[in-house]
Amino acid sequence: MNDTTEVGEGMKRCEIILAGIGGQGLLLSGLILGDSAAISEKLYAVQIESYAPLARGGSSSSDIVISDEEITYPRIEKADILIALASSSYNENKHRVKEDGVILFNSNGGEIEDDPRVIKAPLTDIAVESTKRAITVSMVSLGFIPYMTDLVSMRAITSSIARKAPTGTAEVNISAAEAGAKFAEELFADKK
Amino acid sequence: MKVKNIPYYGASRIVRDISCDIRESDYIPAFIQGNEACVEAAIMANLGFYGGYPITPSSEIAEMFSRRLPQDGKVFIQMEDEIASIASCIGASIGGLKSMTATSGPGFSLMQENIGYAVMAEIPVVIVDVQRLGPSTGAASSPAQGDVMQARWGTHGDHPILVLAPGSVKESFEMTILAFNFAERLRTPVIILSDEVIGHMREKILIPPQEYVLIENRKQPTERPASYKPYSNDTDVPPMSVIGQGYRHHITGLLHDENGFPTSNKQEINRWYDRIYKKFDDNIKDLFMYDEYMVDDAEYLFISFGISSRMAIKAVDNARKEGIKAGAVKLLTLWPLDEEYIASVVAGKKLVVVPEMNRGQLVYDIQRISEGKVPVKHVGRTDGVMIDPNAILEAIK
Amino acid sequence: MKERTTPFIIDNLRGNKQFPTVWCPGCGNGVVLSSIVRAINKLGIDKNYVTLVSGIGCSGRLPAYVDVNTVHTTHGRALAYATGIKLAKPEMEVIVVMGDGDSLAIGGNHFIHTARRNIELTAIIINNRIYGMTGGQYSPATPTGSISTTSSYGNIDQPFDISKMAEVAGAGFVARSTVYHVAEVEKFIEKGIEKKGFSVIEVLSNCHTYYGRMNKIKGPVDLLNYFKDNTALNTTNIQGNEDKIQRGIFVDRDVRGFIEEYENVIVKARRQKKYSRT
Repeated sequence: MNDTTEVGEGMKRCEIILAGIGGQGLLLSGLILGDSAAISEKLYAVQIESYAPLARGGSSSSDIVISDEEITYPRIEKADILIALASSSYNENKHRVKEDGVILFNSNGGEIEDDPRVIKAPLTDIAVESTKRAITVSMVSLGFIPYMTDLVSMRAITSSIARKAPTGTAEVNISAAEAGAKFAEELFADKK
Repeated sequence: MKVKNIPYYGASRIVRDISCDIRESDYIPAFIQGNEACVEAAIMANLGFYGGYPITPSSEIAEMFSRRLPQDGKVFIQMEDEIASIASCIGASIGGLKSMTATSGPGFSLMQENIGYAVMAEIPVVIVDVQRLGPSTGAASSPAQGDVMQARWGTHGDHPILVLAPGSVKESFEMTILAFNFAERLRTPVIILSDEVIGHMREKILIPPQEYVLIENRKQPTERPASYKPYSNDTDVPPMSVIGQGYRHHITGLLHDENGFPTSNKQEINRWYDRIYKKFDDNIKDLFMYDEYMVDDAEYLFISFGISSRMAIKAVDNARKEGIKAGAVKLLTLWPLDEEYIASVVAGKKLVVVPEMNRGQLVYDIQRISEGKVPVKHVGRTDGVMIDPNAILEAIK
Repeated sequence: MKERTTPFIIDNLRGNKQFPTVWCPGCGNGVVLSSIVRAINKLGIDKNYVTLVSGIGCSGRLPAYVDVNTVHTTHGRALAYATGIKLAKPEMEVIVVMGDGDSLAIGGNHFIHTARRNIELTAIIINNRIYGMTGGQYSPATPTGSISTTSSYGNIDQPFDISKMAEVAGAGFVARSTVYHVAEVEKFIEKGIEKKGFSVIEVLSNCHTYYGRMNKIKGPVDLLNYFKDNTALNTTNIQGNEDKIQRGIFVDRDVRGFIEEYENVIVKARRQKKYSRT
């Protein structure tokens, strides 16, 4: 499955929104996704964070543009992928996603309307099961990325976590991402 | 293999020898924020002293320096306010260290008087202003480009000033290296006008190895102390002694003679003024840096800087798709403007548009330089949102 | 006397600087200037390793006459500049000369924070209780009731007690004297320079031109006599001296200075250095 946009002469550009509420570890996961594209995959990436003034509880999102060429325009026009960790994140960002884009919605994060773009997965449950910590939910969601775009591999993600996660947290974050990837593998196998 | 996009801005460059083979593998790739790039570059430029006061959205710079500088035996100090921050930096520079402070609008306003001191006493210092929205407290974590004129005219009295405006993380790195080089070369304060987007945005950059990077240091006197004139008018930029080396001269914010002593002699005052302007005028081709995008056949021209320049380039792409011949100029140096260049690049255009995240600042100088021969329009916004490329395109329709 | 004084002046004051000074005849600033020069000499510090920093006001003009490194900064900010100079050149003796308005009004915040850091600087505050350079306006040290060009009906503010403030803010050495007590001033400055942390020496000085004229203590001699009659050394018998202004060393404590502490930061930082760039 590949939602990457082909632009110009074979240039690939993929726009991803990670959205949730404060305290779900989104800023770290945004940094890791960007880093895994830019450093581990040797592509280019731009990441812009936006967050409510309150560190916890407010809406928070990370916009990531990945390309195989240097990125001039850093903003997301229409996202290829949205990962929404809560229903409010879905509602705030659904209009920013392409009609043929993919939305990964955390089914533990409330109820949302019917939307043909949505794939649901119990991301918080997976986080708690794999690491006993709900905060790793955004790392779980990163495990789905390799199944939604071919620009970033699981190996790139784990290597970025190992380098970028705060001291002593790499292992638990990698477990979360791998648990996500395992769930995604079955989920996307079913879809095919 | 040579690296693409080795920065080359006129005669000003950061990489040592443009013709030597620099291997891509020598560069260290990094995925970092604009603020982080500033820190990396400053350390590479051999920053010796950082004095600052926390303020959003510049605080990451202070936080990183507080960890990094002591590791190299360099000085980080958190001062009691922004006035003390810039003052301590100027003091450290008098003591021979390359020094820097970073702030945002409210703090930048507080620094202005002492920026004037650095101009008057010709002390190199680098000031980063990560612009945020609004006068007063405004909106701390929203971007804007509203300090263009404050950077130019913030301190009182006539003075030349150098203001560099990065538009990306890569340029944050390069402009910081160049800011130190220019500050040292010209004995002047240099302002880096960043903004909240550039400061917090993460991008991939390739950090050149230290040995490739061209680092300049202030010229020091070689003559005997008795014949040393710290403000000699025989040269545009007199050598600057470091205290403790035996020169024991006077430094003052008063208008002064060649020895640094206060003067009210009109001739001496005029000579000083002529010289500090001359050092900018004579070096304008080095100081003024810009980038052009599809300008050659353009009928419409977008002149912009910082994050807005990337919106302008997108607008050019969109215009070209519609068959409209548009082009863009990205200013990397905001002040001084090379008026000769601006006049030539706007000449013959149907319309010039200046997109900037304010209610109109740079546009007035572009209009002045265009002398009414070319219509010049402003596209701006002041709500913390980047300018929509379509809004730029609309302006020429 | 002349044989001794002349070479001393040539050695320590700037030959290429025009004398007389900008100050009014009889100004107390000259006493402070000469006390500083004598103290530096007595301690035998190489002139290249002394930096004299000042702010704005009559006191701001003091460094220009002295043959050391001299920096005349902006109003109120001398201590902040001096902090940068000292951190860049820790081996340098950095002496900061300020007035009462300079150090306590516009520079009040820098003053208390410099004391809090206990950074290795010596601050000399020439307290003439008025803004002299700008024409006799009241300062934060002007006594309540005093007349100035901006308090024609008598000053209603309370004056700061500079020495007490320096003490509570954390300075390692605090002393007060007056321009009448020249030997004392010199001794305190000497001790202040020798002291490792932040030293504050407050010197009560006369501004007969403004403060004296408006407050009926007319000439410089009257003001000097005023200091003689209205101050008392804190080591002498307090009886009968209760109402007098105290002179003497108020604080002399060994608290680690900022630069000393910063050396520890460097040691810790180097130990923990494990930065990866990517």
